[in-house]
Amino acid sequence: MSKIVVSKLVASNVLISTSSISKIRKLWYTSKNLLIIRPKFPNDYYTGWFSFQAAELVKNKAVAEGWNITDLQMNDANRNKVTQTINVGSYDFILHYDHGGDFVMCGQNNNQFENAIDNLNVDLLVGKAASTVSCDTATGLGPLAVANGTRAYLGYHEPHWVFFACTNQFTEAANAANYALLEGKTFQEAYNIAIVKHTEMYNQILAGNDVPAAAAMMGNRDCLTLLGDPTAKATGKHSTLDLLHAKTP
Amino acid sequence: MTKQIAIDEVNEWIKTIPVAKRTQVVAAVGTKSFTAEEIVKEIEADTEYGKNLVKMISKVRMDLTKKKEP
Repeated sequence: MSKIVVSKLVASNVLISTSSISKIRKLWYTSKNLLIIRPKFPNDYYTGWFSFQAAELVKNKAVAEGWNITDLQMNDANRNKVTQTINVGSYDFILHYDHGGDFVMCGQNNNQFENAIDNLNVDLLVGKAASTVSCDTATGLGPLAVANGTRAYLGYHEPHWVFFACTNQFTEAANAANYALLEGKTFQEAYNIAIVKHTEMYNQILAGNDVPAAAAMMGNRDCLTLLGDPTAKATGKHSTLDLLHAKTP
Repeated sequence: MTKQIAIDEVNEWIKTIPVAKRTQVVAAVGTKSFTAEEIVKEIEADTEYGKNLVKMISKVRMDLTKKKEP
């Protein structure tokens, strides 16, 4: 008796699967899981006076847009914790505000610099969207990440400057793309918005005759780089089949 | 030439900063931070950041020239 029931159930499942599979495939859901990595070093002007606070504003925006957020701050932004957090969670979007190098997004451990993500663990970004406000990463780490399967990547391919008489303008410019991404815009749209915002801030600073700061704003604009799929969004897009296949812990 | 223009530009800018504030940090890039006077020194010494500044200031000059064209 039980064998018959099981057989019927299996047959029924097969029928559902074959008849509805194409419909189910077309059903998508989005996810909004964000990881913020934002060190802040003692006696460090870039993180202390600019990037940490800029990331706070982005976090506020993410809250308003309904994202689930993990915020690794200061010494929590160490390599081990970043690795563990990404491996355990299912993040769609990785946001980094700190120092960077050609192949490094910096992190912080015991108030010392530590590579949070570099060429040796760039696989952490596979399948994810990434954006970093830091120096140089779009030269090496960004292309490597995209070659390894990061959906899209925004970063700067030269040093990222800040002039503190214009911190608000530098913050607005640096955050513009990330605000757009958190709103669900594509990377191309976010990049375009950021270019316009940098230009707006450049003109504003120049009107105040602060040529070095204006030059830095223009420099930042001109080295902002979009890599990967320009139509990608920071949000995750998943087939409902993923849910059916999902394993419960 | 462009280096000298950049130095002149920064020196003009420094004049707009109160003397007492000229030894305070005004800018940062990466882990480096600079007072206004240190920015001039970076340019004069042709450091990586100094060269970067010269390039950026030159672009502003070009942009301003373009804007002035009828």
